Amino acid sequence: MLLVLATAGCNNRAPQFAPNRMAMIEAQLVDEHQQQITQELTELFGTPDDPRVPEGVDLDVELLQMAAGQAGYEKDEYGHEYQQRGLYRQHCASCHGITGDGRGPAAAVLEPYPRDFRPGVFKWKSTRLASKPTDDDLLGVLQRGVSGTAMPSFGLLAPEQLDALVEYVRYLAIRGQVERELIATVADELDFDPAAGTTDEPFVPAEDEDDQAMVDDVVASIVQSWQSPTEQIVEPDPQTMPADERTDAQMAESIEAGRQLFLSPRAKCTDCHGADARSIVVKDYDDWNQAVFDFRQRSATLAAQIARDRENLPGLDSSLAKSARERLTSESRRLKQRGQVSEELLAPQLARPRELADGVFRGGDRSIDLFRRIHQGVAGTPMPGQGSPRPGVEGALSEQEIWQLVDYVRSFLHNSD
Amino acid sequence: MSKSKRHRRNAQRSPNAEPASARWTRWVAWLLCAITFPLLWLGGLVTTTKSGMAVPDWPGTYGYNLFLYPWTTWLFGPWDLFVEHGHRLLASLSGLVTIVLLVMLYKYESRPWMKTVGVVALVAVIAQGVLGGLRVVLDERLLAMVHGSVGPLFFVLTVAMVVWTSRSWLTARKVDQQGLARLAPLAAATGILVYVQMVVGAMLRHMPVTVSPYSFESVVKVHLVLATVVLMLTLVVARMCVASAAPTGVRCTGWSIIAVVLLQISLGVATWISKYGVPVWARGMYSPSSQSVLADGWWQAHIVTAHQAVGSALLASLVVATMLAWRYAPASIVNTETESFSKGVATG
Amino acid sequence: MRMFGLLLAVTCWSLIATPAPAEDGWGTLRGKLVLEGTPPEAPKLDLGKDEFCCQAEPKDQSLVLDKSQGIANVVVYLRPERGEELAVHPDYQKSADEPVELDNKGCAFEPRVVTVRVGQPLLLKNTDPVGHSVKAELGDESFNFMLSAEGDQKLEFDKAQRLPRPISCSIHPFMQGWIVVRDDPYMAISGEDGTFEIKNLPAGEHEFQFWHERPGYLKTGKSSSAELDRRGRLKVTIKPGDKTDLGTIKVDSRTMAVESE
Repeated sequence: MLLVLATAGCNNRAPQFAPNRMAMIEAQLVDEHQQQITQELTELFGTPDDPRVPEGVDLDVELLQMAAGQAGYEKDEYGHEYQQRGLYRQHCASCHGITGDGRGPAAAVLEPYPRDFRPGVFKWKSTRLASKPTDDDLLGVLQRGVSGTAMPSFGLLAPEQLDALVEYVRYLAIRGQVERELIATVADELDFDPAAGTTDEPFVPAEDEDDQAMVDDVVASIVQSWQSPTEQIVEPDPQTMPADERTDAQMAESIEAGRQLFLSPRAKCTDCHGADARSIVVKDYDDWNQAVFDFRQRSATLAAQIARDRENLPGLDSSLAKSARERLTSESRRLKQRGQVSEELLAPQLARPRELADGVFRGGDRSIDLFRRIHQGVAGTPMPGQGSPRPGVEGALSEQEIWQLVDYVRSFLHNSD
Repeated sequence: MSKSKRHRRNAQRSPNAEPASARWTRWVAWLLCAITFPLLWLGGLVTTTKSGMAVPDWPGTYGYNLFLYPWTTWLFGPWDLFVEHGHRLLASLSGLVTIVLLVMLYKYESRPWMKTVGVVALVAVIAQGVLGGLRVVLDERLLAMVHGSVGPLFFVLTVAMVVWTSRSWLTARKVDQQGLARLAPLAAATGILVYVQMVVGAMLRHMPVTVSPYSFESVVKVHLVLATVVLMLTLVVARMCVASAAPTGVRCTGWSIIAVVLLQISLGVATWISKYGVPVWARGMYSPSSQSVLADGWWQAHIVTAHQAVGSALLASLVVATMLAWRYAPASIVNTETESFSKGVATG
Repeated sequence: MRMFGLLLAVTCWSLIATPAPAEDGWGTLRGKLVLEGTPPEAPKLDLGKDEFCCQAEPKDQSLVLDKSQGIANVVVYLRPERGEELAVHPDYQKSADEPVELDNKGCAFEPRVVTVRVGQPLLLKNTDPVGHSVKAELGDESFNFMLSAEGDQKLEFDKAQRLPRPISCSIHPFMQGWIVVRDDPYMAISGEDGTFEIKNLPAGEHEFQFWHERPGYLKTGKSSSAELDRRGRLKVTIKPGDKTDLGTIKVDSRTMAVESE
């Protein structure tokens, strides 16, 4: 505890973005490349106090300025007008972290963990599964909150402040994606020796045209993925959409049809959500936790390998023993690095299918929200879509059937306050 | 000494025989205490609403003298400005009343150490004001935490001054009950634990965003364990107070300790739920809500602030219990026990 | 400068898309992958409660060996340099639109590893009498949808993937498959006996990537004539009209281990 106090007191430096160490260590990047990537990211995106937007990326710097930096007000350049700063640090960072890695101070005591924005995957959105959320989707989450989790509603903030936060979340996501892609690209394309920890091909985009081309490609591909998500919104066919005004009998009929579907082996809902829509079956991780689980699994494999090698060492003749010993040293070093990264990570939590009978729906409880959820599934989680995976083809269930499921699931709404 | 003896004799003869000056001093002490508690509350609200930097300069407010800042802007301007500027105004008032009290003590108080207490109070209120100002000027969160932790200490001092100037203190007679002698050190120890608990709580509130989740988690655990220990100890203390043969003051303090600690525990639970939601293991116990908590909304802000302020109230009531128990306890035992206790604190 | 880079990338892409004729002819690469040492124990699958799957009883296939210890499901593909244009043999142009099938059969993906070219249809089938879901994380082309009993779904991809990506079924988490999406057709999966063959490669020096789901990059392969580097890569000169045989590539069994936490 004293230690916390001490670190809290002495850490007066401006907070920095934390590098994605898990991805870096997983890719076995050498230190030099790790630093060069981090440097390039600062070049492209600036710091938590002073955000920058790479050319071609559609982000509003003025909005980012409002969200970035230390919470409070700052004099403008003329020194007399006070401008709002630090909205993200004030409202979001204690859970989502400065870097948006979902590892803010309060993260470990929460279930589910706060979202890690860096993979650029968002669950509560109106668009197709693989598409990015629209600004309105992100805004909706801020306004509504995510009921049943620690994410509150920020409905009291001024519209401009909410816009600033949406922009900043997109900024952190894009930054995180660029980082991941740069790590993957450098690890795949540049030459280096992880055993010795050296490279004869440093990553210096400012001086090397090929390196700059790599950066440009990465940024361009991520810009493309964020382009016009509004075109990817799932629009239900007006023909099969239920009428606004329905009689009680019609409603009951639709709910019953939905219930039958819910229980049917065709829709497979009960495999995870339980036949009573409450006795859930927890069996899998979501993508965020799976990555951590896999990382730990591979560390365990490496540890077992090292133990075996150590056991075999005395039996080897001297020529073989030398190389085996060298390998052991480098593998032990790698394991140690992995251990350090593991300590920063949050122990993986299994994905909990929603207890639908509670009548609490995290991504919004309007019919259209639930329609899109069932139609496309929930990005980054095990929940599959029942509708057509791309426009123009048929899905496992027809839209009419999905509406019936929506009616059934919404019939639980009265179970919540 | 002789003067004070006379004083007490006078008081014993008839309450009305007390000189008006003593009554006035008591009233001013009460006033100071009555101002300081809402001041703590408002200070907590500054942290809750993160208004600490809503007024970025000090000692002025946006270039104005503190007292000349346009009151219309204060009352009808942004909420965080209202809270922060209000906190400053009330703090200044508390400082002024402290000065008045000191003057009165110097003029009318017969006990020399009481004058010293008055000086200590003035120094404390000034230091606390400067701490608050530095917190703004340097924009340093650690200072905010220290400022927030010194506040309750000053409040406790004002409460002690009320007790010292109170009629029951001045007219108290020893009660022949051994339990009272044990009560004083136990209540004092509990009070110290409560204060440690408040500092841990302040750490949770002022946790820098760069702290690792696991550090935060361990501080949370410390806070929970301490809460359990404090709850059990306060209940023991309260029971001893209630069961004592001392005058009603002690028994009332006992009942108020019970009320305050139960309120405080409920506020703690409510704080957690309003900030982080119902934990998964407890979700079956609550009817699920489809509404998310409103961040910085009325409930969230006031529950959290209340949890902080009620902590001070608990601390204050334990201090009152300690003081009264010491005052009423059989003298011989008290002297040895309090001495060994204070030694224990000094070395521990 | 940056815009220029973007333009360059776009032009390169369009150049790759329009096949250039090979000037120096075509050749073939072949070889066989064999495990050296004791095979690690196969993990047991937790089949959950699904009645059909428990009856079908799929086995763990994360490492499939035949009697000669030939390693199946090793992915071998040509790794072009950044911006390199590869000529595509006419035979491949014919197969560019032929759907590649990936079946859900007996609660397992069949085949376990599937290769598909950008623009080539992937036919996801379910021949089981129970519903499955198929999920893959492919960036902007991720998918996760239900496949009804005896249903199917056709997909196409616009973007190549740097490495093979996992395919899974959320309903049956023990099901595991892999998908390789590349711009060009020069890729192969080793068969049951561990042999692979990539036909009609443009002649010249190329780098080939060897990959297996257990270790990822297949980093310890070694034959009499060739040795994979630490990222499982090998530079080979393909001669026109010739079959380049890498021979038997021996893979150290220690790289194929997998431990649970």
